[in-house]
Amino acid sequence: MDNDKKLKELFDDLKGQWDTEEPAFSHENRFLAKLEGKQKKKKNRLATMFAPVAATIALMLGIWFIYSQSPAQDETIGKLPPKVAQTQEYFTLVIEKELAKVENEDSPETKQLVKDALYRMSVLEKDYEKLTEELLKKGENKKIIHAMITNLQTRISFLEEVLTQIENIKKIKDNYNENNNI
Amino acid sequence: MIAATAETDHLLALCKEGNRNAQFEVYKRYYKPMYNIALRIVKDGHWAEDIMQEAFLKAFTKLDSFKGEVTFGAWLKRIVINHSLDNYKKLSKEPVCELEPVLYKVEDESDYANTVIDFTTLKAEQVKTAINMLKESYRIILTLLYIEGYDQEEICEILKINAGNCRTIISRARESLLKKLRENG
Repeated sequence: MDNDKKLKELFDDLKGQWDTEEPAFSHENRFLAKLEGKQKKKKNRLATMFAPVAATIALMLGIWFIYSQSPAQDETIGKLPPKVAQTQEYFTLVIEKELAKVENEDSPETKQLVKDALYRMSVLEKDYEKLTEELLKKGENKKIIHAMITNLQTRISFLEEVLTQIENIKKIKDNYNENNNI
Repeated sequence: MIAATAETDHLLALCKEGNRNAQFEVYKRYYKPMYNIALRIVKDGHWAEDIMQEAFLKAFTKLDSFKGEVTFGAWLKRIVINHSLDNYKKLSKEPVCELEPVLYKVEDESDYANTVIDFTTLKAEQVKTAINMLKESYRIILTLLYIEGYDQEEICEILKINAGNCRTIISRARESLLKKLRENG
């Protein structure tokens, strides 16, 4: 019991001195990603992969924006909170690029797939427009902003998926040709 | 403190509804002590962060079972500890709570008895180092007992061992720790 008393005194003196460590940098962002659910994790990785490329393009585009911009779109972006506007620019660029790739792949075999993909993209885009309107109406609202970002991320990963499917179709075709040649 | 609890209650109600802002707010308030608790058990920063964050998510999904008999912090702490131990046990080679047979030698303790440790000069850091040098089972039980402040009964429950074993491990662990402190101090 003597040991206990000694140690108790020791630890009583040290009370409140234990919680000194801090988790690694940007743990809060990682937690937010976890809150969003595991599925998002994958998408976020995709976004970070594109981020450097997108950032460069966004900067160039930003300059371009100042000189020549269709007034209608500028108005919406101008009213959005700056962070959202920035993210939107990033994503729009990536989406446009991916979309162009998908459109390029239009061949008889993939016609149906591309048509469907474009249709779905237009649906997602309409959703996004609705969200933008809502955001402008209700002011800065984290829920809406989250939904908007999710929408953009969904579009990117959807296009990625379409591209892999197109690749697969091509492979099947190639294999078929090879086999027939033999 | 009363105002603070009322506010926490409100925040928790929002968390229950799945409000992400509220959940993030709760995280910001409690992450630090919870991270340190996990870190003391698993001893690895990245691992501790993962465990701590998973424990928060777990807590949010079972907020319904939080009845308020203890503070939210204490309730959360218990989840963090259980989750840390579950994870740690899976990967740790050494058993976390085991009572191994010890051959007791009658040692001449007079040397030790003469070296009086001046506890007042000991720093938390030194004590931490000494604890970390102990066997896993001792390290964990002493952490729960002295740093996390659980009593023996609670420790039995957390480690799922019976009271007798618990008492024995604790008293051996105490001895080891004092010995380490003497050697280093």
